[in-house]
Amino acid sequence: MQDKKAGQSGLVNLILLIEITAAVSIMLLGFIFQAEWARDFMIGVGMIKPMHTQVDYYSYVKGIEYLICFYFFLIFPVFFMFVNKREERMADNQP
Amino acid sequence: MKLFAREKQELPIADHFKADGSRWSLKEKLLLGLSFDDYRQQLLRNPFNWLILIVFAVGLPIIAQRFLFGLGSVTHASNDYPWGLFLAFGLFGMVPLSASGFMLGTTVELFGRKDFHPIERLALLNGLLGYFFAVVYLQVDLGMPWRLPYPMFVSLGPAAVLFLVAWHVATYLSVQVAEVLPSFFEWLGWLKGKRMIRSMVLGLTVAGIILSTLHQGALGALFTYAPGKLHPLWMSANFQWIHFLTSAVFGGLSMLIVVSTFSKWFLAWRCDHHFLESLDKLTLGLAKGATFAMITYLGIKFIAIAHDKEWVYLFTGWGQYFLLELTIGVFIPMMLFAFAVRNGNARMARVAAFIGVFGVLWNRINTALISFNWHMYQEIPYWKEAVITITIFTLYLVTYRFILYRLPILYEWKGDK
Repeated sequence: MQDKKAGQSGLVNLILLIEITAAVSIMLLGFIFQAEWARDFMIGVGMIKPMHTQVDYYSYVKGIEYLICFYFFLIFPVFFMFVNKREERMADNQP
Repeated sequence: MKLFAREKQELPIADHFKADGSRWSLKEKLLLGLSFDDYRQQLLRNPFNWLILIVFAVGLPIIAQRFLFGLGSVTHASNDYPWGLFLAFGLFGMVPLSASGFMLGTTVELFGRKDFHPIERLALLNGLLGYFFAVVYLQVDLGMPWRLPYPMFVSLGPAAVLFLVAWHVATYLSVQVAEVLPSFFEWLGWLKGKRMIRSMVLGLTVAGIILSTLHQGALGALFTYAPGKLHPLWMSANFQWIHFLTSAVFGGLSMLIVVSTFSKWFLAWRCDHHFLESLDKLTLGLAKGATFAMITYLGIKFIAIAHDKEWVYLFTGWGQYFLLELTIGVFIPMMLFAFAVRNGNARMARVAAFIGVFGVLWNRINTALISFNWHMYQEIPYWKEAVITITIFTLYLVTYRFILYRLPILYEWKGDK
């Protein structure tokens, strides 16, 4: 029974690994082949635009940097929990 | 050597006394408890030693040529490219891979994680040798090693980053020598010396943290000397120091996993059961640290791109190359480390560590050499430069092996400690 569970968990992990790798590969390939959608996205959200004044620059920097930091503070705890999942499982199994 | 270790019960040496109760002499310890003929035989039997001999036979005359006829006779160095493989690989590459010393010192001595004790000495030795050979590479590049005291003591330049780097390397190297000395004193049987060093261990560890973190960052800050020469994606005036520092964290941890893996594969006769049994668990512990350092590095890297407004460069060939470096050198090992820890798979962590070490070296070579003068011609190192780099790296391997064969790094000394 436990072997079956471990096998299922391994399969889920493998699928997860393939999905994440595929997602990143699509993004990477998008840039490598200089896909129009990637450029359009960046122009659309204001990542690529001409700057004329320092106010332009600060408006851009405060927006984009804060957003990256915000996403990082969301992603990091999720990633931390993902990595530490095994220890929790081990702790649960202890008598 | 493993044949002798299998045949003779008292080998490998891990105690001051032989089976008959007499004491090992220093000469016997240096010859690993073998007779001179046996020692020579085991040297000749190992095919790796023949490879080393060939590398030295080709490389040492070229190193002599460098010191006799100057840098120009062995490199393509010019005013446009003041450095090549010696610094790109030897200094900028070896230093982050040597960050294991201060990290494991901190983990065990300051944070009290005594479960990492079996691998601590290997980490310290890895740090010491990495830094020492980085200095050797630097000396081959600079030439005239006898004039080393001049920038250190005679002609000071306290406003220069190079001055900071030089003093950090020198003081941190001294700290690392002191940190590795206890194992040497154990092997020698001079316990008074060991006790003296052990009494200073907390101070040495704290000094190690301060010097090493500052130094790793200062190596990055060195590139602010040439902001216009580096490609903007590899150069961020505000973030360069933290890029170098955070990448050194996972570089050092990955290198430690690689070195411990090689020890397990090729030096199993020298490792004690405590080291071998705990290695998988320790590898996963190091992998956990490395994966968190990698995701932090990626986050900072993207913040730097945003801060410097370099998105548009991602749509050029350089941007593709930059993303390829980040994906292969950081993202893939990060995910492999994460899955390895999650599934308790030490083998996967080892694969990730090999890629991680490659990723850090690739990043440093890209920063110091490939993206350097990106708007000009690209320098291709002269073949003699590559030969010298390989020769010094071989010398590093020989020294590493010489110490691991003898000192209690991979095993615990059984006698008086």
